[in-house]
Amino acid sequence: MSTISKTTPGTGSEGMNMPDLPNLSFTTAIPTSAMVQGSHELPAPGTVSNAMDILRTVKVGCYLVHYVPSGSSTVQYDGTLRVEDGNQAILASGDLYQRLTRVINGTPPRVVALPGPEPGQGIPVLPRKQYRYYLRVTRMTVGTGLAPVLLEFEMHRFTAASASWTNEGPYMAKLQWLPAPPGYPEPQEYLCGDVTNAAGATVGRLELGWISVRLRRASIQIDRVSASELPSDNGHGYGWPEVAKEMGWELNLMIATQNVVEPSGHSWSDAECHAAMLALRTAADLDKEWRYHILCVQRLDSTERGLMYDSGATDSNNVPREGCAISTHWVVPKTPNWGLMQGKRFGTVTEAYFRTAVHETGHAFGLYHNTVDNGFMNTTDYIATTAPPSNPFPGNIKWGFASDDRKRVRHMPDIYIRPGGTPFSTSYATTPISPNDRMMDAQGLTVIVERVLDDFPIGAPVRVNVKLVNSSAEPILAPAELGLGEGTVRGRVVDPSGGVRTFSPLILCLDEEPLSLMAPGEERTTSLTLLRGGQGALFPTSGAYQIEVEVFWTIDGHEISCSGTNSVLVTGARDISHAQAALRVLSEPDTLPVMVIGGDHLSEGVDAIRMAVNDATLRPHYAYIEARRVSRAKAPKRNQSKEVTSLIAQDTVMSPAEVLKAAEMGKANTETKGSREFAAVLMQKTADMHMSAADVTFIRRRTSYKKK
Amino acid sequence: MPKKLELFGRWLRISARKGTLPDQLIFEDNGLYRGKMDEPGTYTDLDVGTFQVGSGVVRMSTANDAVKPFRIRIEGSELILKDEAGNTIRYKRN
Repeated sequence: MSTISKTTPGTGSEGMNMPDLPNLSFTTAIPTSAMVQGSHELPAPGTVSNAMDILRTVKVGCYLVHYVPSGSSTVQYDGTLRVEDGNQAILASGDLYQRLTRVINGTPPRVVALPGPEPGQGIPVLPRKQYRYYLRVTRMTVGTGLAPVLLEFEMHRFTAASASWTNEGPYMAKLQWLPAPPGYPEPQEYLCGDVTNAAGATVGRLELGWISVRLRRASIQIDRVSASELPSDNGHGYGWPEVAKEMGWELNLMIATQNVVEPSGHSWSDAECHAAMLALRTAADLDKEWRYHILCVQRLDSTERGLMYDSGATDSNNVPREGCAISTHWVVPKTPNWGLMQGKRFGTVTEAYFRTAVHETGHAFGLYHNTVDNGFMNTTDYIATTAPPSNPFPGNIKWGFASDDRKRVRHMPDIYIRPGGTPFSTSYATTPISPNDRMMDAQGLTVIVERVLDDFPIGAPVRVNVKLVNSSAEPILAPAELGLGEGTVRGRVVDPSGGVRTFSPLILCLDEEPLSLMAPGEERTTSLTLLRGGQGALFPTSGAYQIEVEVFWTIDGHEISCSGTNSVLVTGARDISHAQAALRVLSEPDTLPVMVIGGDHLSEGVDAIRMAVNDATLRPHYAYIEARRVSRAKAPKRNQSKEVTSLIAQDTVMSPAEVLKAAEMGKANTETKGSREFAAVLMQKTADMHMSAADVTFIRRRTSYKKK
Repeated sequence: MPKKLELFGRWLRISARKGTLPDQLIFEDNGLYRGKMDEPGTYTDLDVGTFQVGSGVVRMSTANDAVKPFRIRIEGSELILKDEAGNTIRYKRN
């Protein structure tokens, strides 16, 4: 399947990485004219035979969620589900917090769950230490009066101690509209139903009631020294209400102290900013309110215009991302890149000053810099320096978030976004966030993944061949070169227990990859030797694995991808030597850079590979890797060619691409018994792998030596 | 201390990862730099910003917009970067 999405990092499945943000989930292919969004309206007489057949979509906005696992009355969860309309599809996510309990004294004493949040009070704010789950909605269908809404989602359990996530698997809820209990603002927008797991067993009961058109709720408190301007808007009608609308949040702006005392002169250190925030903030219970703080001062010690100081060592109370600071008395240098701002005091350049306030607050939301466009999370320097002469800075500022950041502020887990949640420096998920509002199929392209062997012993890299095929009748623009090294291939591996690990280019090309037209029927190929990825070893245990390989490229800022899958079996350790060697290569992080870059300076990685070469089971799988490393040594040894060719034997496992590279590595000036055997091995492999005539000719030429 | 001109270009990490220093750095002639980790979406303190060569250090704006000093030296085709916490990474010019 092929998709297009904005270039956005993101992913996540296991361990430290945040779970994937939700995909758009398509409703069934039903014309919108047949759908009633939100309220249930009866048709005109004669238009439908049964009023209960009217189709309903889930109303967009925020829902109060209550989830009770089966078999428990004390373990209950409350939270929110955020639903937004993404142009013919639904985008939704949610969070669950465990309800507090208390002990009732008696004989015997018993534990009871306390009451949950009141729907009449709007979007609830629940205690951070009670945070338990992120709900990643993968599908939400339309329903009718009779047919339920199907909500398919993943539950990602958050472990606060390690700030890690565990995907507890896919679930489905069949929800029916029911009359809401008292207190809901729209009594007809209430759904309820059983939750089942992947095996079809009922595991709990889910209730959703609509409570707000906005998705999240927060306050921003602004304090300033008397000499500093208030960052209220951009001077052209774009202010905090517009920022709130862009984010889909309910934002309460509080202008507090306007004559903050400067503790040590006009310039503030990070610590002074943090201390002032703690002293000035009028409400400090972040378990009842998401309150962010902006401090406006004349100058800052550690930067020119603004920073989100509440991280790392400055975060003295260990409550991260509570606030930020911006300065007003930095004077813009008189250099051309600063456009219309040159020579002016920063606080008087309303557009840039307000943008900085939003930018730094964005860091408090957990957003990082984003140069995909000139939106809020790009840096002022970058926007100014890259402004065209026809539209000098600040005219080229984009008044909004980049689309991927807009999605993050709406759908990242609560614990990432809210003040006092996870620290600044917690990574986004490591695989791209699923496509956004508009999905386009790159029709006609197919990715075929073929495994070099049906099974691999544990510790061995898994080799696959990847073929991108234009199966259409039209030429299609696609990457000229495929490969991890070219930055056009990435993927994921699903282990026997369903855990997902990702692999991506080790060396990223920050320039755009070259594209060229693929003729109808044309095939482009590459081979992958998979061992480690972002989460460590890709195949850490024996068992059956699913490998998904994605070819991706960018056109006009949109990411296009096309993927294919295959499965492979990893067999267990055959003896102690194999087990020890497998453990070493799988646990040594430097094995991968040695494989990719080569060289002798990563001694731990080199030793791990040598250990594998010396093991009878793993030798065939690492012989080529070791030969390649030797051939690329900085200080070539005498008889290096002989050492390289002696490593390659008939049982050496190689992909077609590796066979071609080996022909280059084994160059020798004169023919020897070793070089003849080496050539014979490579030629046999071309036959075994049905390589092309051109490849055979190439290898024959490279392995032709002068006779003695 | 390297001159600004010597920093220009792309540098790829060749030693083990340390701290939050990036796997890849590009210094541009307009005073901007970009940094990336190999896995998309992985945090690095040096993601994008400005750099200024000073006496003994290069001052670089960081992920939370604070400007911090880094000790940088160039040895042949290698760049050695050291942050305030003492984390040191070697890069190779690409």
